[in-house]
Amino acid sequence: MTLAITKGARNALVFFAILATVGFFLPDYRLLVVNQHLFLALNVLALNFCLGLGGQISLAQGGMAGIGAYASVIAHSHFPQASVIVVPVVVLAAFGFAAAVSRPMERLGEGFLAMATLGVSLIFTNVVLTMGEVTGGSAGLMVDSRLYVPGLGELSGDRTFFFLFLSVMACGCWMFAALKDSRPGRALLACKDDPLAASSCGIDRAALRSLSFGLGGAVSAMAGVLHAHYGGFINPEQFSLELSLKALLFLVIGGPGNLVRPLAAVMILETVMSGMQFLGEARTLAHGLLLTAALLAGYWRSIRPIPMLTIAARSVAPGRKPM
Amino acid sequence: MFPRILIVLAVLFLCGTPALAAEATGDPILVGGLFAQSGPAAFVGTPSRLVAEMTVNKINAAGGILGRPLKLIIHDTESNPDVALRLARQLVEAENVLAIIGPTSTGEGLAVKKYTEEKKVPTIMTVGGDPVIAGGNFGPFTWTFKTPQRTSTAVEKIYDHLKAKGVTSLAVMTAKDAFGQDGLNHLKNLAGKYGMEIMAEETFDPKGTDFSAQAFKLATASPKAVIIWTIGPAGAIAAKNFAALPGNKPLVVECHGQPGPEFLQLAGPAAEGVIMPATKLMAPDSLPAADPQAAVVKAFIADYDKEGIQAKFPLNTHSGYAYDALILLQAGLQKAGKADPAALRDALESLTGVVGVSGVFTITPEDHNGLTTDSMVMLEVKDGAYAVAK
Repeated sequence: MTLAITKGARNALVFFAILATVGFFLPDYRLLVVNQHLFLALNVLALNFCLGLGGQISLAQGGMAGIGAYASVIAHSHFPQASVIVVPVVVLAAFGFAAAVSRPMERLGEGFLAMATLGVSLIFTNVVLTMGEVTGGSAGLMVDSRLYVPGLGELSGDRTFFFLFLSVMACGCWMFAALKDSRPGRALLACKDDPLAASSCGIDRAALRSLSFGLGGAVSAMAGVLHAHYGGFINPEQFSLELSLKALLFLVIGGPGNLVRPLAAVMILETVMSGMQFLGEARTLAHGLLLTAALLAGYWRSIRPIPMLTIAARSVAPGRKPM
Repeated sequence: MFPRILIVLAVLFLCGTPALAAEATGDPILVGGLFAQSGPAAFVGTPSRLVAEMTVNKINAAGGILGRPLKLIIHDTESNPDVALRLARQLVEAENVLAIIGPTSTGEGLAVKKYTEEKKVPTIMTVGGDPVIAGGNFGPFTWTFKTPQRTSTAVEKIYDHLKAKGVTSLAVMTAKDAFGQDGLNHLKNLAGKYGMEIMAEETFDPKGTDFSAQAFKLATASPKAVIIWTIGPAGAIAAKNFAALPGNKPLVVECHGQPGPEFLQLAGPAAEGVIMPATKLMAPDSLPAADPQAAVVKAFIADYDKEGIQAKFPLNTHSGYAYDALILLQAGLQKAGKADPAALRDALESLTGVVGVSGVFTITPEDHNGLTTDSMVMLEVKDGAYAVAK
């Protein structure tokens, strides 16, 4: 048990150390790419709370990130220097919203739940489109306000945001690991393995899953907040269903329930894919092949563990279910 | 296990440092070109790139600008705003370009604009949407210019034409994307000025494959004309849906993004009688000899054909935008007299009467496009071909 924990922690440490080192040495304009990937990685982590712990397939990550981004930008346009209050309020509200939405959805069967979370994403896009007066509609919003921290001043620049993304991710990872090893975490894993057996043991499934779903929503919203103030421009397309699907894809590649592997998968595969520019139209095909290979590699390893490859993060209690 | 971290760090130290040193600014004037050569906007972006290369070769063959050759560094934005921003930053921070031509789609334009405005990089965009040079909520546009006609110019051209024909009751059907929304806003805002009454409006998903429901709903309001605002195949699908309606059909008006051979192919017989505003590129033979654009348009079409671009990407209304952007850049640099971003910007903002393919540009601090309704013609589809609408 203790050995397993140190192993997981060590992998996380290596991952963050490599990222931080890369962040120190890349020139600013290259860091932008890393930050764009980190935004996706945060959403993968968020989905990991829902799917990896709670066993709920969610397609709401894009919508939740969008809610965070739009809420923060609109709030900042009214209270320009109140980031210290606005950001926590937005994140807490996202937590509350996601938790509240998850309650009735938990009553639905598995397939229906995925559809309902899909609905959250689609409703978000449509609300943004129809409330053009406030949200700028499909043309999007220019973000003039920056995040303001008393004592530090306004936060801007690629490196600042790189470390902001990184620290939010580190916090998220710590929360994930802490939750997984706690009593509710065990209960969540039990729900994932067999919902009926878990409830018959006296586990309040709806409450537990609203916790994991809420945390996922909060992490996504936080990612959205950072993304909006970093990029300086938001439109509904950035938070479309594509983001949710990408998050799901990378989580499946890395293995739901695993902490570091899905995040590493995002950073490595996305970097490789953005380096395929020279392929032109053939790029889409190459992306598809690469992702398929990654999926198959994950599956192959899960049926035939190879010592060389299993050095990467092994979860405390794998609790993996065939997809 | 600890040494392994150290090894990884050491390796990163050795090979992770950036190798890109600033390039010595030699003779050529460096300009960045951002074109969507893949993804949904590729049908505009790829020919734009070819036209840009053709134009640069032509400028260089004629002695370059200010006695220096022009060098265009081209990147593919993949029709993706994130990628467009990355490449814009690469152009400015690593490749030290003087100015940027492009990108192709409005979303990419908005993503790039924030950065180029902050960094003070003159950017001549080839995007359709107005927000990049609209000001207000979309931020200042001090360093941003665009060559395609404004949405409002196209709307005015349509309203002028309809008014002359005595059509005043309208229905509008706009795409749910940024381009469609932009069109809807201008159609509504300008309706009063031209005495147009909008009886009904509908929106649609530009990726959809059938809009019969919307077409039927709009037709029940019995307008005289219906204006369809979208780019790509959806416009042809909508025209087909209207043609399939029973009873009296409204006059179908497409937006300035449609004119091109694809529309005729896709809409087939349903295209008959459809009218739309276009650049003069689509009606070269109807131009009177006195038209200042006549010579430029004809020379452009001849070059387009000669370079073999016509064979791959038959000429459409968008074909000239990259040419115009480079012509503006050339005129701006010549006026500025030196390859300096601030001087170039000031010169661009005060250009008058620069004759391009899309029109005669007269740029002012308030108007960073510089084209009026005179730069467009109304086309009508007759016997499967475009003709100037009477």
